[in-house]
Amino acid sequence: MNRLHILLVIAMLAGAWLDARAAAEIAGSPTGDAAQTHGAAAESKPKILNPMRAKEPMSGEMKRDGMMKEDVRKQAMKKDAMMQDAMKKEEMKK
Amino acid sequence: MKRRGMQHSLAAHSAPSIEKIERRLFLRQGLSLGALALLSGCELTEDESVQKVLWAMSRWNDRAQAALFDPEKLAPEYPESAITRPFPFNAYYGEDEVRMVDAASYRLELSGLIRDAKPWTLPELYALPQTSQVTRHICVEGWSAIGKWSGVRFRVFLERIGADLAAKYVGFKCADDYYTSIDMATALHPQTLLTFRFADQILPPKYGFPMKLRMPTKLGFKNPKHIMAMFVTNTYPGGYWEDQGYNWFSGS
Repeated sequence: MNRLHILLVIAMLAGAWLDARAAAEIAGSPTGDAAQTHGAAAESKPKILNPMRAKEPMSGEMKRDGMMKEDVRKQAMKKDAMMQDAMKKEEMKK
Repeated sequence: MKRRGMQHSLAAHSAPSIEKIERRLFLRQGLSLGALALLSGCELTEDESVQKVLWAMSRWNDRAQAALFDPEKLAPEYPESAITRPFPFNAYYGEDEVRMVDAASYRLELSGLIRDAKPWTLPELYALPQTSQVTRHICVEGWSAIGKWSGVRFRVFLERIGADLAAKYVGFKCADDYYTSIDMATALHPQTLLTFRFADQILPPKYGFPMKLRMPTKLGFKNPKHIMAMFVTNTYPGGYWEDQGYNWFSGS
């Protein structure tokens, strides 16, 4: 194993460790009430004129087996709550 | 003494071969580890700690791609004769479920590190300086197609709203609940357009009415359609597919 291999492995491990730390920080931040946040956002939302058959499996080739269309909405709500919290903190820092 | 000298000379002579063998061993061990991972199948990849490591490696990959990204290098552009007709539709739902957004009540919501975060109506957006591009959309699924999109350079829009251009990310929320985010370097790239037209027509619903962010420097799933809200932040926002394990940077 030459020096290049060792350096590459060290760089990859260090990068992975830093990212794992960042992920833990994000995951550890309080998320608030997802449904409430989404509800507040929905008030100002423009009309969407047709429903989606949310309880059906997803289309397309990016999905994994078992993924449903409604999963996107659920994930979006969780993410929205998490980001709003994080962004509030950013604005307070300003 | 003689024997020792001989060993020394042998060792010096065979050093490159030993290095080769060690390199082979390194590769073989790597392959064995890969094979072990395959043998154990889903159980290993579903494991939470393995997922964390894979996710961390993917984020490291993002950083490498970001470091290699040239903000001045342009993606190829094509003549209109090269446009793919019909242009394929692709989403996580069928074409019959495409989101129909009401243009009259539409407002683009802005938040985060933006000085003037007032909502924008469609006529206000259409009044911004427009430009067109004929570029190739490359899908992570393995197909590609050439299309013509028109709209405002995203950099111009970000400057107009007083976005913090030193921030790390721009995030998007869409009418079909899809969400994604991009790096600021790509947001400021000259070919990144906030588009309102496809093939010289107001963006049809199936291609993302009222607006789609078009980036020929990124894979198709990074180009959000039906954008309802956007935000500028320094907190990593991920994206729907990205949170499922697809690479976040996804340059094309």
